This record gives sequence, structure tokens and C-alpha cells, in this order.
Amino acid sequence: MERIFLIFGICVLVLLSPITAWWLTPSLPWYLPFLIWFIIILLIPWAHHRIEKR
Amino acid sequence: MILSAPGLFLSSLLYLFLLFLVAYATEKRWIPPWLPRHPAVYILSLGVYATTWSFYGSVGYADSNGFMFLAVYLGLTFAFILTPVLLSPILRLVREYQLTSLADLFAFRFRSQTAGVLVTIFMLAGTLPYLSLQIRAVTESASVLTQQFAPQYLSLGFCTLIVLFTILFGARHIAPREKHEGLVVAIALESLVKLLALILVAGIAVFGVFGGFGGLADWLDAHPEALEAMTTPAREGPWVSVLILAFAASFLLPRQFHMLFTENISPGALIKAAWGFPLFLLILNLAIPVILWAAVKQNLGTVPDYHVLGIAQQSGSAAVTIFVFLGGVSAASAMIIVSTLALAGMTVNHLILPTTGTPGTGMNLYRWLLWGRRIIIAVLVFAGYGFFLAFERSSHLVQLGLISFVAVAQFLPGIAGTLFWPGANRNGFIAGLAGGGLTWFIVLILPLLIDTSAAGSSAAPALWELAGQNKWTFSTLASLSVNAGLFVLVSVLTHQSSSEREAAALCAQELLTPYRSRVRLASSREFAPALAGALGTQTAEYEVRRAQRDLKMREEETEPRALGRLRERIERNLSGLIGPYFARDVVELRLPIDRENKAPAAEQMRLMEDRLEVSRSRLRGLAAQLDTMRRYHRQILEELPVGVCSVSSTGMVTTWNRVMEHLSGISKNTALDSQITELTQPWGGFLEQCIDSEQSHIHKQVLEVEDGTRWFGMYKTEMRSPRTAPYVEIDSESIGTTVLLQDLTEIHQLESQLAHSERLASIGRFASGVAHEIGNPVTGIACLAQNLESETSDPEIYSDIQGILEQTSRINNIVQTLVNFSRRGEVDLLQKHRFGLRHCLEEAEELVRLSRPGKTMDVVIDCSHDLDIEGDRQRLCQVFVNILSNGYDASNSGGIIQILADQDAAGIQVKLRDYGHGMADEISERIFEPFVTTKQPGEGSGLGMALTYGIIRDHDGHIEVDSAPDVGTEVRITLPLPA
Repeated sequence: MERIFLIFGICVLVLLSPITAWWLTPSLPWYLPFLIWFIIILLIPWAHHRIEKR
Repeated sequence: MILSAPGLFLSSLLYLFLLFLVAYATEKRWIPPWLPRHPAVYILSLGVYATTWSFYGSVGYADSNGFMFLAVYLGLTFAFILTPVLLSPILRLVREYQLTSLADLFAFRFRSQTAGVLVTIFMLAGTLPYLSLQIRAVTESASVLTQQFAPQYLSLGFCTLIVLFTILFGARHIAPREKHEGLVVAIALESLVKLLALILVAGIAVFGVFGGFGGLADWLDAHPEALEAMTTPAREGPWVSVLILAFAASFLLPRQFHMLFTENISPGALIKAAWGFPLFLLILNLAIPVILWAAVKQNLGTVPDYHVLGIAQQSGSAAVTIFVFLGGVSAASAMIIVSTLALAGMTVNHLILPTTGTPGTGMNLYRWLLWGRRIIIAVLVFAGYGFFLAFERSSHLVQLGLISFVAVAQFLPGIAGTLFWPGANRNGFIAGLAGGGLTWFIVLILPLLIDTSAAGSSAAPALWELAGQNKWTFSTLASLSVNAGLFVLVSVLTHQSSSEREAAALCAQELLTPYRSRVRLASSREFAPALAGALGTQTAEYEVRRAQRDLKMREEETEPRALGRLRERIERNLSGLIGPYFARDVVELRLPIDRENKAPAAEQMRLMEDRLEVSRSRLRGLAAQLDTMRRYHRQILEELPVGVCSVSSTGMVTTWNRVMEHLSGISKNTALDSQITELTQPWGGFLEQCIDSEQSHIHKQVLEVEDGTRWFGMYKTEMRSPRTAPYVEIDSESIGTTVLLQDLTEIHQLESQLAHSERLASIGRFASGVAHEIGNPVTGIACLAQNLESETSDPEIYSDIQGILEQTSRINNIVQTLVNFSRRGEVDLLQKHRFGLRHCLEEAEELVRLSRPGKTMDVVIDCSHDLDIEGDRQRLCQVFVNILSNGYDASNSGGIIQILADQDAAGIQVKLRDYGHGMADEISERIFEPFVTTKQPGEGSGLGMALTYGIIRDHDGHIEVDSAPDVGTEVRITLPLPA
């Protein structure tokens, strides 16, 4: 369960804090928001790993 | 490229018909059954989330709000990250209590029909703009492709087609537990078409418009304002509020709830969907900026909402354009089909049924429900069409979508209360929802209802302007604040009913199952007639049969607990059919419980333990620790070296441990929940006798079982109810009896052997004394007789002397036997050495044959010449002589005696079998006791077998006798292997 809240916290930090302004900078690659989203998706199975086993 | 309206209509018709064929083939099992259950199909079916708003509108939204369009999907990702704590618990409730919609869930949690009604009305109000949006998108997309104002018949025809196909997909028949595998596969296929269509358009944009990814990068370098237009609005826009709205919409929208929970076949698929579905949406959305930039580069004349079609048209291929158009039709039709299906069920269960009641005995309830749903589906689709006509020219696509999102976000406080706050109550929920709903109506719907020019002067827009906030931020925060505030305040200030408290505990996993008193009906056969008044005869009979099938219950069941389970199952099944509140109402009224006659606490504990056992993985913290302790105590009971059997006050077995299984040969599964009298005999009667016995302890209780007689020590105690037992209704002090059984058979046998040995020892001592006392005088008599023999020549006296000598010799033999017997046990006197067994057997046979010259016997010795034995040769020879002599004496002349000797891991086995007259059981049981004989007086002393027994025991061996009258006797001797 700790992993879930860890990922959730990271998501809040990346997607709901002033950090959002950083990855929405026009000078960065246009696909960066998608890349961040993809990394979050990759972390979900890791967070749910033990729960899936149970 | 311009396409014709009839052509588009025909292609839509053919496409929907293809989907129907896929659904039909799935239901008919023409495709492999694993396919509908595959997680990928489930994930794709969740793609119903991506409606025309996503398919067409996202490009338009990106055009005006840049990367803000991503917030609609990132919010969903947030919700799916929380799957184990948010979505899985809802799925558990939906599956466990057969709930089919969000209205069902709230009606179940708050035990309130009003909650169900309010949720349904609010869902209808919130979804109607969304339905109209889909109709509008299809109509407008047709206008884009035909380059003319789309004829009315196109949108009307689309609505008619959708009504028809929705009924065909989901309301053709009443599906048990609302699982429509065909629908799931069809919706999954639609999602695939949407995805492929967008990828195709993105491909055209990248390779057709930009000439590849390098071209795209170059164009972006040359046009930094394009990227600026994507990022700036997102930084400044209502990012947080759209994330919150998307978070709520991802599982609370009727279509999402329906596909996520109601149509879910495997809970495991939900965990896979937690990453699979966001991945699907990521791929879908990757196409959006590319399509937008391609449209900008090409300077397309289409409105941004339909750039997807514009780019497809650029390809110059009619097939590509029609395929992309069908992608839009997929997005619209999937949303309308699933949403109207979900809303139809909610409307019938929460608005129609409470108003009209069930149709009664005369009508088939299934048909009534089916037609009710069909009519509601048609009404909803055409209401959406009416909404579309009324607001044809207002708002962008996404505006209508967001209005719906704000509406469903009003259920967030209710969901939080359901899952995490057992103190929340129906008054708070209703007050919160009404307050939030009113705010939503004033802020978002009112401006739609009045003229646009009047809207500018209305109070609502001024509110967010006054607050200096964005429309969506203001509407989201204002409505949710009012909602949550009222929910908490009213919940705190008002009280919960007891049934609501029970439901709250079930939802928050504080309670696994409610505990019921006994059903007032005496047999399962009485259930259907009792329910017929509410459900109709046919439905009632079918529902009772279905519940019995689910429980694998026999047709005629009278056991009170089984009847309670049947009642519970019927309520759950009916919940899937007519909603939880109405189902509860019907069951409470038609299958009443006897509140005076509560289920015994022992049975309730047993039920509780069952539920705990299957639900233990859900326990956390203190509950998990308590469960660990429970399992520890259970393990102690299981591992006790005595049999433990607990029986409730009604005679139902509630505990049956491992030793009990071993002793009785009755498995735990068979014994538990059975009546004690129903157990296999003799155990049923035996335990019943123990329970009824006035004694709390019986030292030795004899029981005749299949493998012989067994002796048990029995301890019994009456159990008293625990004083504090929450959620358990305990009525009486005594809650049952526990019986402990100790198998004393082995101890009893040892005691018998000990007594036997004691008896032999005392006889030995007696024999030794007698031999001593008799031996000396007899020796004196023999000496005197011998003297007389030498002194007399009278033949008559000589003959008498011979007689005296013979008799004294006989007495001496007896005395010698007694002496030998008395010396039995003097192991030190044994002269042990190794010798051939066969030779010993042959010698014994020879001795016996010589001593019985008048009798011819066929003695067959089957013994290897190599088989050696270790012991006192003389004494063992005596053993075989004794046994063979008995065999000779018991058999007629010409009979057979078989001697079989062999060795195995246990030792050397010697079997001596004759086919003589045998012995009765009462003799054979005592054959090793001294002076027990079947021979006539004077023919045997009765000490031979006693002596034999002693010699074998002195050699650490074992001897046993099997005999039956007129069949013969078999003596089996086991001796240790030579060292």
C-alpha cells in the first residue's frame, strides 16, 4: 500500500504543483508531458505488484 | 473530397450491424470463450470513456487550451493509481451485493430509496447534455464530410439506429447479474476502431503533411508559437479542477461505472486495467497535437473540433475518410449505448418501480423489466436528440462534456463516505447531493437554458468573475464545497439507523456479513409461493431455483441456517434485477425473519469465521492482528491430540478438528454445518449420546466401528455466550456443547496385556509352589514303587507297580511343565544362538509324528533352507511341537498342516495352519491363558499354548491366533531378525 501512496504523491508533485510549469515550458520537447505520463504508467504495475499477487 | 449523406448513413448502419454480429457471436459462443474474459478486451471496453469529445473534441480543446486536454486523462490516471484502495473496494461491493449502478451502491450504503432516486435524477440530468453532444458530433461530422448542412433525417436516423442496437446489445433479454459479454466485446472493438482511426489520421499528419518526424520537428522549430500555444494555456488554465473532474468521471460516469464494475467478469482484470487503460489513452492522445499542428500547417477550413476529419479528407481516400468517420460513430454509439443501458436500469429500479411497484402475480416480471428498460432507452436517446435540437448552436463539444463531468463529481463525497467514513448517513448524503446539484444547476445549466445575451446579465457568470476564477474552477470548487460541507455537517448532526450502520460497516469492510435471525418459513418449498405475490409466480419460482443452484442446495431444504442463506442469496440476486432497496423490501416483506427465534451464537460464530477466512486478505491493522490471533487459537484446536467437536444448541456441528476427522473417518467438510444426528453412524448416535449424557466425563466409552471395538475417554463442557460480541445477536446463555474424545484403545490393550501378564505371573508363582510341593512326594512314591518292583516277582503286583510308575511319570511330566511355565520370563536362562529355521521345524514335525503313531498327517513346510533364526533352539522347537501337536489333535487323520515361513523388514514370520475343528471365539480369545484347552480331561494340561506364548514373548516376538469352528486354526508368529 505504501508504494501506491508513494506513486500518488509523486503524481501530485509532478502534475499538481508548480513543477507543472516546468514541464509545460515551450523550450522543452513537445512530447515531454506524454513521457512523464508514460513513466507514471510504468510505475503503476510496480505499485500494484504485491496486491496483484494477493 | 465530398461524401454523400446516404452513403455515410449506410456505412454507419453496416458498421453497427457488424458490431451486433460480433456481440451475437460472442453470446452464442462462436468465438473462443476466453476472449471476452481477456484483460485486453476489458481494458479496451473501458475505452468507452473516450467519446466524440475525445475523438473529435480533443483537437478543438487543444487548439484553444493547449495541453489542458491532457488533464482529462491524467485525472483518470490518478484514479487508476488508487485502484486497490478506491476501485477494487467498489468492485467488491458491486460483485458481493449484486449492485448494478451507482444509484444501487448509494441506495445500498445509505439504505435509502430517496438516495437512489436523487442519484438517478442527477445522473439523468448530468448525462443528457453528454448524450446530445454525441448526436451533435455525429451530425456535424456528417456535415463536414458532405460539405452541407446535415439533413435532419441523418441525426434522427442515427438516434433510431442507436435505440435499436442498444436494445439488441443490452436489453434483448434479462442477463443474470447484468453481464453482457457480447456488449463488452463490441465496445472493445469500437475502442479499437477509435484508436486505429486516430493513429491512421496521426500517420497521415506526420508522413503526409510533415513528411515524417523530422519534418514535424523542423516545422515546430520554425513555428515556436505553435508549441507556445500548447503550453501557455495549460499553465494558466483550470488544470487542477479539470484533473479533479476527470478523476471523478473516470469511475463515476454511468458508462464508466457500468463497464468498470457492473460488466466486470474478473477482478484481476481491474488491476491490469490500472495501467493498461491509461496506456490506451496515452496512445490515443499522442495523436492529438500532431493532428492539430498538421491542420494548422495545412490551414484547414474545418472547425478545430473536426480537424480529425479534415486531415482524413486530405488523404484523398474515401475509405480512409469513412473509416475515420466510423471511428467517430464508434465513439458516439459506444457512449450512448452503454450510458442509456446503465441509466435505463437505474431509472426502472429507482424511479419506476418505487412508483408503480412490481407488476404482481399476473405478469412476468422479467418481461416487464425488459420492456421498461427498452422504453427508457428510447426515451433517453430521443431526449438527448431533443436537447441537441434545443442547444444546437451553443457551446463547444468539450463544454457539454465538462458540464457532465461537474455533475458526476458531485458523487465524490458520497463515494468517500461509502468507502472510508462509516459515520456518514443518508441525511448528509441527500443534503450534500442536493446542495451540490443546485450549485451545478445555477452555475452551469441555467446559462444554457436562457438566451446567450441574457446569460451575460445573469448572476451565475458574475459569480465566478467576481471570484476572479475560471468557470470550471469556480463551478467545481463551489459545487463540491457546498456538497461536501453539507454532507459532513448533516451527517454529524443527525443519527444513523441501525440498518444504515450495518450497511456502513459492510461497505467500510468493518463487517463481513450481516447476521440474521431465522427465516419464519419452514422449508425452501415455501419460498416461491411467498415471493409470488411480489414477483409473479414464474419469476418467483425461477429466482428461488436460481438461488438454490448458486448455493448448490437441494430442492427441499429445511435446515434453518440453509434457509437463511437461501434468503440472503435471493435478496442479492433480486438486487441485481430490481435494485438493492426494492429487493430488500420484497424479501423483508415476503420472507420475514423470526426475530423471536435468533440463530444460535455458535452458528453465527461459525458463519463469521467462514467469512473471515475468505476475506482475511482484506484485513488491515488491528483487525488483521486479531485475525492472526484467531487463526492461532484455531490452530491450537486443530492440532490438539484429542478429537474436538462443538455442537450448537440446535445440534449443528460447528467445530470438527483434525483428530476428530482421523478418529471418525468423517471429513471436516462433511461434518461442519451438518446436524449431529445426520453424521455417519455409529458416530452420529455416539456423539449425540455423549452430548445428552448427564456426565461431563466418561472414562471409557466403548464404540463398535468398522475396524473393530474402540474405547474412548469423553469430556464434555457446555459453552456459555461471550458477554461482548458486537454484530452478534445472542439470546440465550448456553450456546452449545463441546465434546473432547480421547482414543484409549491402545491404552486399553496395554492394560489388558498387563493384566494378562500379571495373571500369568501369579499362576507361574502358584505353579512353582505346587510343583515343589507335589514333586517331592511324587518322587518318593516313584522310588518306593521302583523298590517294590525289584523286590516282587508277582506278575499282578508287578503290573500295579508299572501302573504307579506310569502315573508318577505322568505327574512328573505335569510338574515339569509347571516348573517350565514358572520359569518363563527368566530370559537370562535362554541359550540363544543362530540356527536354521527349516531344520527346527522339520525336527518338531518329526517329534510330533513319532508321538502320534496312529495318525497320518500331510505336513507341508514352505521354508527356505537359508532362513536363519536366533534364539533358544530347544525352547523354540518346543513352541513348534506344541502348536503342531494341537494341529494334529484338532485334525482328522489324513488332514493337512501348512507351515509357511518367510522374512520381511518387520521380522521372521511363521504361519502354522491346520484345517481341523477350530475353536470358538471365547476359547481362542483366552488360548494363551494357562489351563485353557479344548481337549478332553486327561488329554492335555492346558499349559502348552501358555508356555508357547511365554517363550515367544521371551524372544521379543509376537504370536496371534485366528480360529473358527470347523474351519481351522492359523497361528502366526513373528520373531526378530537375527542380529
